[in-house]
Amino acid sequence: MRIDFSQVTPIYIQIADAIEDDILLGKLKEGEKCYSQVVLAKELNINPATAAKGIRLLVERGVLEKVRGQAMTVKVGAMKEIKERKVEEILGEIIERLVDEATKLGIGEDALVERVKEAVKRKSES
Amino acid sequence: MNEYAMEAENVTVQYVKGKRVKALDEFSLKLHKEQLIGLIGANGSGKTTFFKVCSGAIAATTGKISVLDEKVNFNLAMQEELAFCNPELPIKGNLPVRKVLELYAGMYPHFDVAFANKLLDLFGVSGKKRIQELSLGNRAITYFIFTLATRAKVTLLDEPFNGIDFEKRKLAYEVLLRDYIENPRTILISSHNLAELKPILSEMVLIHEGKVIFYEEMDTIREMLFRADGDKEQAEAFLNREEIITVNSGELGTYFIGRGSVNGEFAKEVKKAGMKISAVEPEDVCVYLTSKRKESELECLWK
Repeated sequence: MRIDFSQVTPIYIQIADAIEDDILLGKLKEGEKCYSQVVLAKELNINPATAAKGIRLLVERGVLEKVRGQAMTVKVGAMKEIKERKVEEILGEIIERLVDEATKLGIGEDALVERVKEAVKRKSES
Repeated sequence: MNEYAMEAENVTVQYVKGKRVKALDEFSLKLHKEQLIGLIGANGSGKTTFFKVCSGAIAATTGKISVLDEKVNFNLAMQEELAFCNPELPIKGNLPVRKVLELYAGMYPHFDVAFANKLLDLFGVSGKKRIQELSLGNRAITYFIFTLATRAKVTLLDEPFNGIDFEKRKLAYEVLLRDYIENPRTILISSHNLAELKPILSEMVLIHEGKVIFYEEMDTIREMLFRADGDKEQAEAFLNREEIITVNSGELGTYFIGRGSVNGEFAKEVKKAGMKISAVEPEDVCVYLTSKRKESELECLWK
């Protein structure tokens, strides 16, 4: 896990996003324990309050839950939750930016769609 | 029991009576317990004076100050729970590092001798060397180590890493954070290098001309201001808004700094007008909220 301190995204959001990536990659599994606040603070060299805030954000997002006084656990169904949110927020944002850039460059709708299709095709072939 | 580690109420410090200049000017602040707090301000803003008043090294001209619910002056029980690291106020004389360690251990009941020795080893400071023989950086590190090892409930660090090279400074930040995690307590640290310090902080105080500008959580500070970049025409539509702090215009474009978060209402409005919005980091927030300097002044230098 790597936090980029020069990035404008607040550190706690970067932590939440990085934990979600670890869940998507299967490093953290549904129903199993998540990294603790202290481990995150120690290994990333960040204030524990910031680490706690990242964890809290994931509870709000419905990705983590506290099971009967135990450590934070990855919720069953977290993977689906993360994917849905990412499609909504992140993909939406990237597409908006893509359309912005394309408009600036004078690339029309058809040409843009064509390029996206090509990129998808290349990805599936590789 | 109180929820604050330190309370200052309308504290004013005047070094020279009758002079208008006040090192602290009706300064009020209540520090939360068990936080790692940054004290940020330009040279001469009153940081060191505040530390000195907190630790009882100097008395306030007017106002009240208490640490852990106790008045600061003439209170030995409280002094045991308060450690102050300031390279200017070292122990007198030229004792070997090991002797200074013994003095600290005698003054502070929770002083961890083994921890202090391990840290001296880690930073490569020999216990046999006399304090004055140490390089500036190693002397600073030594006082930092001893202050940390006191495990005092309130620990004041005044520019503890001045003159320390980058590698050791990085290590020192790590040691400070780890020790705070293992032994939570109130730590107030001043620094001119907020960019380096900010990841380990939970809260920050900005002071300017002897007054508190704000005391906030780090993430709140990142949402105080935003920057908008665009061309002159786009910017001009907003320049009468009171949220704007500063405007800069050049051949390459115009940008302004506005109050509010990058996701706030004002930023959204500006974005709709076609300007690029970006976040302002805490170290720049501090400059924008306290600086009176204008870009035009800089240009004058070469005219």
